[in-house]
Amino acid sequence: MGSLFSKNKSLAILPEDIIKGEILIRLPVKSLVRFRCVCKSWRYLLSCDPCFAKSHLAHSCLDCNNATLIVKYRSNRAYEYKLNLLNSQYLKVSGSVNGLVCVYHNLPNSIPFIGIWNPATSQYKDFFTQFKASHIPLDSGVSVGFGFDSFTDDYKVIFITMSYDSPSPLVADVYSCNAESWGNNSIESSFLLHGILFPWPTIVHGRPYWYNYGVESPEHYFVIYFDLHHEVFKLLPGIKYVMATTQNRVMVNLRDSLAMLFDYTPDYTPRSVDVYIFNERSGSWSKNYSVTSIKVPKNMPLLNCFSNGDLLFRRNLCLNLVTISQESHGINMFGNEVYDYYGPVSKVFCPCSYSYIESLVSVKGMHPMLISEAESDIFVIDWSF
Amino acid sequence: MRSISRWMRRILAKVIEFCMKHAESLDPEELDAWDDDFFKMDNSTLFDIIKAANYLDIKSLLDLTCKTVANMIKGKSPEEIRRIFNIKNDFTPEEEQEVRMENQCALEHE
Repeated sequence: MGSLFSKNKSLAILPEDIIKGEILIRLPVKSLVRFRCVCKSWRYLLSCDPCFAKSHLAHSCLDCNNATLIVKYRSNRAYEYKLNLLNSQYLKVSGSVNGLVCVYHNLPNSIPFIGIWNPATSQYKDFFTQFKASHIPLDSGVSVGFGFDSFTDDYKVIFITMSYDSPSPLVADVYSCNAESWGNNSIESSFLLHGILFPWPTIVHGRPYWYNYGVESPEHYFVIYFDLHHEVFKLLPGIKYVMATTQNRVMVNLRDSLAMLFDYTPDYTPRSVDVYIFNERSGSWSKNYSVTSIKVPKNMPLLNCFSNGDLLFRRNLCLNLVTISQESHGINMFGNEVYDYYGPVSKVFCPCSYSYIESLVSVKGMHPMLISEAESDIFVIDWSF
Repeated sequence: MRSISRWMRRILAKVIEFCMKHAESLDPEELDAWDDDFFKMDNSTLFDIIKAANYLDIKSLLDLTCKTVANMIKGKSPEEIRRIFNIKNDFTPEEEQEVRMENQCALEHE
């Protein structure tokens, strides 16, 4: 053991495997990007080494109090990162997996494209969808899903189109980041969709989930997910919950489980939110808890739920966000009253938020994103305080 | 049998002190405060304790010492990092410029 220790204090050094395996792995991505300049082996480790990126991510995930969200909204609130792209009011966020964020851009009269962004390392890549804008009926007829196929270590983007003539099957095209190309064949669901697919998916364990709404009978209500490895649509049972007219439903990722929040805003009794969790083992939903006597006005719809149970509400079209802490029911308001929005916001409005965790992960074809002064609606915000 | 030198004895004494304190006290607040005080030491001692904890497979001590180092270095410049870990800058001036340009966008966030 004597040989491990430095007798000369000025030469106190740590073995490389400890520096890399125990210390660097605990650092935030911002620091690691800066440390790429230290030496050649660190440059490789901190930019190209997929194993290190994975271990670092796994270590970050152990911190369960993550309260960082990607949101699409306009505000002057302080943010960690923002996506600088032209015409970003037409951008929608499709989800975040392992520190990568997928966005979808649908500027009228141009070919839609999909972007993959790593906010922490400022890397970005985009690619066109295969469809000309004219082939896409309307925004609500399209949804973009993003996920990770752990069998092939591949990040995939699923572009779904659905016909307005309900019932009809879902049709998907899949883009593989490893192959850097779309698959040759479209994938059609084996079931027919009744009602309308909620356009923004919920991502759990790297898999995108959607639910349908506007169905006439509860039997047709389902949760749909896309199996990224076998590239096929699958169904989960929906919740046989009677949807009263004073109710709004939001599907979220709650501590790595698929959850459904029912926001009940009746006229004369206090507002409450019921939280249902999907149990993968039993394949069924069960009510986990309720948050009652919520004093948030009805004109602020429920948006998401943090891992600690705090609820996130949206105020106004431009998303001044409001959180309510589960324990104290204290209401915190965020965002700036002064904003201006323009154009047909309701058409491009994407009231979503996704949980996000920083990582060094990258996919083929990503390049450093140039800083631009372009306005943005897409922010990564840390809500922990 | 080799005798244990004074500096090695000092490191082992620190490791034992840590293990004993963590074995006898169960109050997390008290331990946190004690740990904060315990880790007020120079880098070379801290690094030696890391190596000892790694060799002796004392996970909790390795965890805390590495966290302490991580917190200490996270805001530092690459040059300071080289000095702390005694790492040689093996970039040519052109290469170094290239790396800085590549990561400029991310560096701007500081």
